[in-house]
Amino acid sequence: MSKQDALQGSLPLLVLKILDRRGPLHGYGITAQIEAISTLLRVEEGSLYPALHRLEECGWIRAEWTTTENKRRARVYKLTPAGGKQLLDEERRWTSIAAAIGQVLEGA
Amino acid sequence: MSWISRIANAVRPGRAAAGLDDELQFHLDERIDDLIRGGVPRHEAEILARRQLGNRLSLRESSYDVKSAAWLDSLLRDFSFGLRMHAKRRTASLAAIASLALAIGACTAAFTLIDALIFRPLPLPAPGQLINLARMMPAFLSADNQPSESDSFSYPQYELLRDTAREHADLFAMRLSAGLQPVLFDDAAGASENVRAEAISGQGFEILGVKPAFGRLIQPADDSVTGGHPVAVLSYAFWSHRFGASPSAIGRWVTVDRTQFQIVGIAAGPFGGVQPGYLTDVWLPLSVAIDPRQLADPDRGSVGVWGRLNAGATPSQMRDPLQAVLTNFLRDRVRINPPRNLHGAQLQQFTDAPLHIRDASTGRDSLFRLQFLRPLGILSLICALLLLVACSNVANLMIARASARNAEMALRMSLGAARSRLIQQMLMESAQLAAAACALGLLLAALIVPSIVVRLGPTEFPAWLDAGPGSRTLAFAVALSLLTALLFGVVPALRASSVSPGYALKAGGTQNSGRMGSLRWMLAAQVGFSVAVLFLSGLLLLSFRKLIAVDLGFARDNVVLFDLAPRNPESHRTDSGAKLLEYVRHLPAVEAASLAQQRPMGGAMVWIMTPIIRFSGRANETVRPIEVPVSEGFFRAMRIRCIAGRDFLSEEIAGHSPAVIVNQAFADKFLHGRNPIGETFDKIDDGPDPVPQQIVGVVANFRYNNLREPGGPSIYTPLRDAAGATLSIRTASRSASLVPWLRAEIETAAPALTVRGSILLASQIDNTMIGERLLALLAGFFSVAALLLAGVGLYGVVNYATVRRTREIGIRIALGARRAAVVRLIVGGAAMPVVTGIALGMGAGLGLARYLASQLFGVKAADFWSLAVPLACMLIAAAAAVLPPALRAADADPLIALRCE
Repeated sequence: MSKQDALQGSLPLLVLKILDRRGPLHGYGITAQIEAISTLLRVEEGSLYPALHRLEECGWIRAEWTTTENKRRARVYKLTPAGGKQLLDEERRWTSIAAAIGQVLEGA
Repeated sequence: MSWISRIANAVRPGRAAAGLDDELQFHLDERIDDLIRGGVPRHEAEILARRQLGNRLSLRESSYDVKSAAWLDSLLRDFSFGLRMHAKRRTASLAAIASLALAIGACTAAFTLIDALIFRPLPLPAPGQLINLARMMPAFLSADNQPSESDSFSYPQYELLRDTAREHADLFAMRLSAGLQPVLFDDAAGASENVRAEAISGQGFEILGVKPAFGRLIQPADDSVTGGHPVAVLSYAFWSHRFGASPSAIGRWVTVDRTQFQIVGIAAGPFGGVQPGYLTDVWLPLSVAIDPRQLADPDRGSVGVWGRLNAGATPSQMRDPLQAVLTNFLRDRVRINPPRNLHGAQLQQFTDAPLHIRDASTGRDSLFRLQFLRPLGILSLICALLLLVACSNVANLMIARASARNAEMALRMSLGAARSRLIQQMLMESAQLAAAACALGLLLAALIVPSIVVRLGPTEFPAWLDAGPGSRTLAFAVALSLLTALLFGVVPALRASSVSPGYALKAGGTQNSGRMGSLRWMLAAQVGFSVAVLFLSGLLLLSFRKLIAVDLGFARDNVVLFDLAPRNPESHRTDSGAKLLEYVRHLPAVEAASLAQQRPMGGAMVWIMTPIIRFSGRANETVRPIEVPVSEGFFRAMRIRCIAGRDFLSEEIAGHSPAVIVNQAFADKFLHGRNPIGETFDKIDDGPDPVPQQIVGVVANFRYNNLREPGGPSIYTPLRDAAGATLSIRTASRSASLVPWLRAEIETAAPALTVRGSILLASQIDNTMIGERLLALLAGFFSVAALLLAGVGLYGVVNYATVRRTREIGIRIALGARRAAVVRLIVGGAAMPVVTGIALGMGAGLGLARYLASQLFGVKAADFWSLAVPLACMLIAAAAAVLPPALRAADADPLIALRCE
């Protein structure tokens, strides 16, 4: 699978942002975080894990197995330096697209 | 994630899946905990959590695709599926592998031979730097009146060239041997052995880059006219078979030309000389091995000049200075010692003959290489055709097999399989066949090659090729197999994957109309390639039959030939002939004996004399017959018919008589019906004042030098000297067992002579047909293979098509069709492709036959028999393949046929 230049859809961007802000998290934690921040966005859980694995494949996040307080084995994801850079790029792109769409909507 | 882990995940899918499951389970557990904390009862929480996560299986699939190399996974699946399919139709798969292996093996064997003989660089470091010098000699200097390259230089010329080239290349000299010579090893109790002994400069081995395997090689100090060392070096291959690779060979003595040489070392590994096809057995130091007077002669060509370019140097940089010094040298020599046979402008053409600096990376074009170039080319052509037969055969099989799986394909497509995925799977099955065939083919080639190499040379003059399996052979076989897999795999794959998904839904989907469709074309191709193989092989076989049955004009059986040489090379010409003949003729069991200057049927190994003669009274007319000096009794001993006049008299042999005998061709061509007896002519080469030669007899034409050409206009002059001549002895019974005894008798009768070699005339004749014999043998083998492949392929396809039409045929019979009509139906369906194939194959064969023309004797491509034999063979094979399924179909019980759904 080839590395993508830009992430498709907004889910990966959100995942990167959450990991950037909250530090290492497991998949369920990411879902919970997104739901906690925004009542509007609901993560399609079925698409979260393939997205996480794709991000891992691209080298933007790294995963390792840890044990949580209640003795469960969890896979915890962490942003890599490359992922941090990708996040900046994505954010910039997102903002500029949002701005552009906003302009069009206002102008119409 | 690295490629390695992806591949690992593809090979062991369980591990990746387990990790995924753990992760999803964790997600579920956390979600359930949260929901319970939020007040949802446990069993509802579980259901809710599951529903939110969605289909776990598809989740796993999509994550799995990310985590493992999907392409590899599908390949592995296809691989094991392919194996299962082959196992299911074991017989057909084995037949396909066998026919492909046969063709790939044949092609690989042909490639190995051609590579070893022609293309493979000498097994030396940086072979691209090796060079060899030659001069382009004008046409009038060669016997056949064609410009030819000469790579022979006198030793003083070599020294001059070596010193001039120093800046650009290191040159050294070698005297290559045209044949074998008797030598005596000190452990052989006086029995001489024939070996190829070649002489090399002291620097030669170092420049070539040859290393010793044992002991040391010839060094500069060994190669000196004053105080050189009589040492000898053996090639590894010779040492292995003659001394069993025993180190005790070092220190032994070998006598070559009455000089004793001590063996000091073995040359390493695969290097067996610079003439592929010939093995150099023994190397000697040049200035010790060659007579010093011959070496010092500035005009006598005695060595070849070889060398290695310095790093960065090119031949063009050194050509001009070398040409200049050589031309100056020759001009000086011509002034001091004008050659008798050159006049005027010819002198300048001789001195200024252009120098060639040849690339010697693959060694020198030996006579052997030139002789087998065309036969091996023809062999590869036939092998390539055979490969095409096998490919179309297997393609047919795959098509038939794929059609039987139409329903399966349609089902898979309607379930969403991509077309590319189905093609990949079909190609995988082809690749598996090709891979198995490749392995078997390599094995086959490794078995075939040595037995062909043995047949390339006469037993007393064996060929040597470094034709062991190597990386080049392996690469060729693998590339060829990939190509064949594509050739026979693509059409069936495309065809199978083009089935429409709706097909599966139709009732009775397995009973298609049974039309052969593109099978028809593949069948035509297969028949066509087979016919082309049959046609070309037929030409070679017919030609060989003509050649062995050719009327020589003399009787070949019970004659043994002895090559005589003076025991002392410095001795002057003797009149030893008459005395020797007298002695030999009185031996028991000897019927007749005679001498000839050239060994009969010597082929290209013999120097032919073509003097220019001028008839008395016709000053302006010169002709150029072949001259063969023979003793009296020659025609009687060879049983050549005497047409008019008489044989030489023994006085004419002893004295210097102007009597000549001519053949019928000479009389017909030059004398225009006049009575030849008594005619006189001059030989112009004899100097300004030639003695007129008088014709005393006319003999029938016979083939003297070569089986293929009728003896051209020839003159026979009296031979005076036995030294350097060939003694032919006709014995009363089979001669083979008499040879050692006769040899001893000859050496007793003529102590000044030594027997250099002996051979039965019949074997000598056989030796001139080695290439043709080998080709005929292989052609016979390939025709059988091609016929078999065509028959099996045809049978398979017709049988398949017939089985698929069982229902249709059942209905026809039920409706009252006669047996004959059913047979006609089946045969008619196959007839079109067979006839098309035969026509195409014959056309291709006629086109390709031009390439064979030089090898053919007495046969033309458009002859009746050349066309009729392959045609008949193919038709018989086709009938044998088509009739059984047709008869079976006609015998079908309509009730069973209709119930076969």
